[in-house]
Amino acid sequence: MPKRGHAPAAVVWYFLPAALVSFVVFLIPLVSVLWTSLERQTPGGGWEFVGLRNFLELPSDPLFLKALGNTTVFTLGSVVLHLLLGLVAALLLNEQIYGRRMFRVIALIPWMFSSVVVAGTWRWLLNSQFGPVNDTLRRLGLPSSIEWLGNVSLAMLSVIVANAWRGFPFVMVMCLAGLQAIPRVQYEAAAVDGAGAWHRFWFITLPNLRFVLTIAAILDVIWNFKYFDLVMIMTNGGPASSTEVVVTLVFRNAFEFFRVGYAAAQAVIVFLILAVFSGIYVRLLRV
Amino acid sequence: MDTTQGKVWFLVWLHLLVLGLAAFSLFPFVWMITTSLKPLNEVFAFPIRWWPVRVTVESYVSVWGIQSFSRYFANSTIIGLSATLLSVTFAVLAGYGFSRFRFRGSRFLMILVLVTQMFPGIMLVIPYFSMASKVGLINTYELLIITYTSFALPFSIWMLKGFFDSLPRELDEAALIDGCSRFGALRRVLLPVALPGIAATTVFSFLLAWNEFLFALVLLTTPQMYTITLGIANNIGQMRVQWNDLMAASVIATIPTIILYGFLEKYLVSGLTAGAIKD
Repeated sequence: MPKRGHAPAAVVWYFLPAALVSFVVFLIPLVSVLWTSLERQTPGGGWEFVGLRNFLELPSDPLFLKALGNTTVFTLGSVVLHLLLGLVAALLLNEQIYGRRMFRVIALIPWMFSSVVVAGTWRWLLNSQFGPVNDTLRRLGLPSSIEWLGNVSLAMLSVIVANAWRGFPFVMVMCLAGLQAIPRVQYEAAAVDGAGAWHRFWFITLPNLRFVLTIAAILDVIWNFKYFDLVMIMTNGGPASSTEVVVTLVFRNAFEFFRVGYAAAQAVIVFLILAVFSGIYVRLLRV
Repeated sequence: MDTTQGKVWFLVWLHLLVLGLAAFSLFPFVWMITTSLKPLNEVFAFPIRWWPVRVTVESYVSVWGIQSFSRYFANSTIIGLSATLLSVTFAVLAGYGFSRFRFRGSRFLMILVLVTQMFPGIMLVIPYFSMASKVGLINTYELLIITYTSFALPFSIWMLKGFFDSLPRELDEAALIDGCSRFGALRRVLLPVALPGIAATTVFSFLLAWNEFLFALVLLTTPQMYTITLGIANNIGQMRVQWNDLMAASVIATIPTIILYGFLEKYLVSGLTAGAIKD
């Protein structure tokens, strides 16, 4: 390949700034944390090499196993709701409806807020005494002093619902783009054959969206598996660790209990799980 | 079956569902705004009041003036703008490089860039904190600027590479023949054409920095240096939350986002999907 206008060596300058900061922020910490996961702090404040001991302790740590289970529930629940809501929203907003443009903008609103703002707002919406959710239940004559975030069996559900609200617009945008790429002829042909709405959805729309939905699902799994902000602020892992996910547990181990080596090992497990999904993602994109 | 009647029912259901969706999307935002305009006694009125009886901006005044949110806002702005400037500049260079030069390992590098996006932040922040402590950079703008610059890079590089790929190489060639250097061709000829892509990466980078929480939480320990997300998180952590103040702070924190979205909605959505979907 001819590189007119440049000696080959000069090409380096295009990549150097990006490479330098990425090196400092991604690569050095990655190597460093892998090393730390094999170490443990001694009472004297020094570090000793312990090999895989941190990792070998993980399968018998009930809190870690619980956090791993909670992370799975949180991730699956969030991704399923994102896909369902996002797909339904896209299908609705792809129809010829009054004020379509306005409704599309409204449906994008949850996307605007930082996780911290979402967490605060949903805590207030779900407030047992002064929140509008319980007030609505009260007006309908239903049980109305529910502690959504203070109840062991409801807290995870509440966090997932808040997360569903925050994240469905991404899937919606992807699906809308996907819907617009479906050739119109396919629908026309189906209309000639007398196919109903359900048939059109099942045999034309869904197969055409398969790629988009798969990509969205994998990205969403990756994002939610490592999602820290919402759980940290909405429940802080409580009550009684019922919403503790692995990343909040790592945070606690590293910065509250100062078991840094052990925290590093748990973080590396998250990294390895995400590596699998990233591999699938890269494969699918066929870059 | 009567098809006209069926069609009417379909339209009725369609519009009802759309209204339900809109209510679901909109309600938390509306509740945020109405709460922020209530005086404290109405926030804690029982039975609860859905609309403020006495509309007041005292929460905004309190949050901005007394509770140092103006300071947090300034911190977030300084960090966000600097990180955006750096990451967009670096991403333009690297994106152009990946688009125009093929060399051994360039494909591998592109995938590496993509994969860094998948790293869990919690894993990086552990060593990052001790590294930053050792060089005395905790509680500095510089540290967060560098951090957020790198966070924005993977998406931005991919996005801009895609954009440059869509621009014909003849543009470069023509500029080179006219006596431009390679770099001059990029700056004078390609940059103006790539503006929509640059706009989308700008918004993306700024919002990423503006909304980030975990690294700010770990790397900023003095309240003077807090970003706006950290200020809000700190208020949520209080024993007795003043919800009207908190919602006012949330509205203030979201204003830049609303402005950017309104400004660049067109570019953003097409840009995002162009980067995400390719086959």
